[in-house]
Amino acid sequence: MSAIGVHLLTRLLDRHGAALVLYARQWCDTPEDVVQEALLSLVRQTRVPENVVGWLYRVVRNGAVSASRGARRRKHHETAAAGCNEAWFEGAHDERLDADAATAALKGLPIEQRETIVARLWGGLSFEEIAELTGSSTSSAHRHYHAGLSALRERLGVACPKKNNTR
Amino acid sequence: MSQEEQHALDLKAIEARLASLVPRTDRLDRERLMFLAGQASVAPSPATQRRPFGRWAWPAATATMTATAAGLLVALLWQGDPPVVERIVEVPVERPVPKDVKTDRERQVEPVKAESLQVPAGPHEPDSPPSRERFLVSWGLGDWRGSAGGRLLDLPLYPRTFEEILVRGLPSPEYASPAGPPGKTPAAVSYRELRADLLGGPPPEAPAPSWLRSNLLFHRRTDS
Repeated sequence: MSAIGVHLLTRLLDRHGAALVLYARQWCDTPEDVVQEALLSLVRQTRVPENVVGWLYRVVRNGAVSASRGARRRKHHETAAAGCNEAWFEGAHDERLDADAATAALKGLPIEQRETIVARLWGGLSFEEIAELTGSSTSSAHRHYHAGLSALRERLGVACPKKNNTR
Repeated sequence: MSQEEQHALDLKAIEARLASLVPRTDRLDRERLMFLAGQASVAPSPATQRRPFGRWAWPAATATMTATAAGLLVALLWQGDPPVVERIVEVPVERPVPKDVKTDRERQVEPVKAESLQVPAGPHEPDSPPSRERFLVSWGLGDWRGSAGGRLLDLPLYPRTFEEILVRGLPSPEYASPAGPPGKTPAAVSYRELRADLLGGPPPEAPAPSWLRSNLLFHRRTDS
């Protein structure tokens, strides 16, 4: 009998499914399969991990890296995940930021900055969890995050709204 | 507003706008995932399928046997020639004896004279006393009759059949007389004496069968 109930699995899927798919997309072009396999691995666990979300991100990261290596070996997918033309985001609610432009800007970042921004912004992980996930220090996670945001701001041309712009 | 504060505000702005983007999940098949999760929840996990010692039993046994074989090989290679043990063996050698001198053994064994081999006349009966006497005489033991010129039948007769055991009894230490002198063979207790001792009275006089009667007669004849 699995230690993960249906309710917990549904909640994890609702809250972290999309972010996990986006996180896995940083390495491979089959992120849905990787996330699905990670959730099934969680179901097969006899004991619930202490940090379920962190455990899921770790499993997804390992699975995505393995899938990327396998795809690279087979040479069926010559374009890397970052070079894939598939859209990463749904239609932007904020009309001031184009989803395709944001996707293109994210793809141009180094993988360390990209995975840190995805895990922080859409995954909701803390810097300590990101550092543990990536095998680096908390300060390195901080540095990657801020460097990535700065690069995105320059590429997307987003400026801080002026105080006098507010009505 | 300083430049650092402006930079921090800009980062907050791009962070908020990026967070407003929603990652795509349309390719994540939720129904299929739930179906596979249900299958995985009822399937036995590899941890439960594993036997308690199945994981380490064979490697441990293999390692133990390999180590034993290696140790024996090393011991065999380092083993030198067996040590030479010097022992002194003393072999007794008989002293040569002259031919005209008789040895003690030749002196003891005298040839049987022809007179002692004479067989007494009488009917031949296999178990009768004369045949036993003749047998002993044929072996040169005819002189062994006792000092009083008694008969050979004066020798103690040992029971040979079950009936004789019932009549004569066996020399038994359990029924030996306690008042007997030490070092002497205890007296035999006959069946009649044992029965009288156990039942507290003389045995009833019953007519003995013919075969027992003849045997009793034989013993009475020999005892007289």
